[in-house]
Amino acid sequence: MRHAYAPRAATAAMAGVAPPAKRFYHERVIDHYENPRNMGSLDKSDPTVGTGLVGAPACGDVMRLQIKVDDGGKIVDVKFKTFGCGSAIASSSYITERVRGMSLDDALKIRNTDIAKELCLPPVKLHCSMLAEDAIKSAIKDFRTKRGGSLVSGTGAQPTVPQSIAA
Amino acid sequence: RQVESAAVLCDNDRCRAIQPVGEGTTYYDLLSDSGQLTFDVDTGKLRRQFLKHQQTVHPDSFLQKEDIERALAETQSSWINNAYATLKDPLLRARYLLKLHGEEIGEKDQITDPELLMEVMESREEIEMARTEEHIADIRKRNEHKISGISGALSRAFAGGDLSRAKELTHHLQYLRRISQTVHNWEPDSSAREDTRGGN
Repeated sequence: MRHAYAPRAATAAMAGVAPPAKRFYHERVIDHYENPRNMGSLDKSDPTVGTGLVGAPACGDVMRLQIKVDDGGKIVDVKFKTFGCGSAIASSSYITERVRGMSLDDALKIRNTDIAKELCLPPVKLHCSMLAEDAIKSAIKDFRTKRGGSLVSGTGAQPTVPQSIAA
Repeated sequence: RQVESAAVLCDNDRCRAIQPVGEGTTYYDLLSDSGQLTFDVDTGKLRRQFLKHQQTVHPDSFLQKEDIERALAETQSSWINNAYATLKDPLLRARYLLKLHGEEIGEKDQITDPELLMEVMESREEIEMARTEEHIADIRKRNEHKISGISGALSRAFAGGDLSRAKELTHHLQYLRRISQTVHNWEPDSSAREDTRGGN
């Protein structure tokens, strides 16, 4: 019995790479991508501004998150700039919305899983939400370092026991 | 009968049966003379080996053969294609070598060099702001120059067995290649936020 010969598919295989999987972005991700909240920058040299700059080497994404903090330790302004995929942009856009008005300690409590859940990120894009979590931590660390290397917020009030800040 | 593990076909001239991909073989076993895990490769030789192997697994040669042989031929063909694509490209080759040495770059990897991130951010912003072909050509040229610097350093790092340095450099190369891709996709009057939907 002879089998019919089916011609090999595509050039993708010849190039040795699998054709890219079709990406379906959730509408929430698309919303943030098309209408990003708080995109832009703050003055890095301003002593009330903390700048977080993080990257994901596996995909070449970079994310910058900046917070402006008032004397009460509250985040009063926040800006982001992200070069990366839709999920990375959405994660950073979303986190800027979340942290606005928060205290630094509350902002430190945000987990990437919260972000991923809110944006309905697929498992393959979980690292994008992790990048956003790293970014806010990095911004807060920068702000607190600028305040003189101590972990106490600049309120002059009773210092709270500092949360450990992930590296 | 024992065959050399990277063999695609049985080396008995009267047999020449298609073999499964040898367990534990590397792309280097298949395509390079020495099988040594080096960053420096002769791309001309790689290509010749690649074409030679591809000939042996061409589907037309398996029309009259058993299903199992056709299936093995497809697997071999895929393996051969991946081998060539990987070893031919310096970034893929570096990542492959790191993987073989147990230092694979994963999604959880973090960048510890803030200077690199600042440099990348500035480059990406510069591309975003660029309005002329001349400016983009200049950015491309500077980026290519950086890439060749990194490739040279990678060669030295791997040759010296300095894996952590090789990993850092591979991270850097990954970023520079992303910049190349962005420059390549640039068009005049493109919107301020680049569309990366197709890219990743």
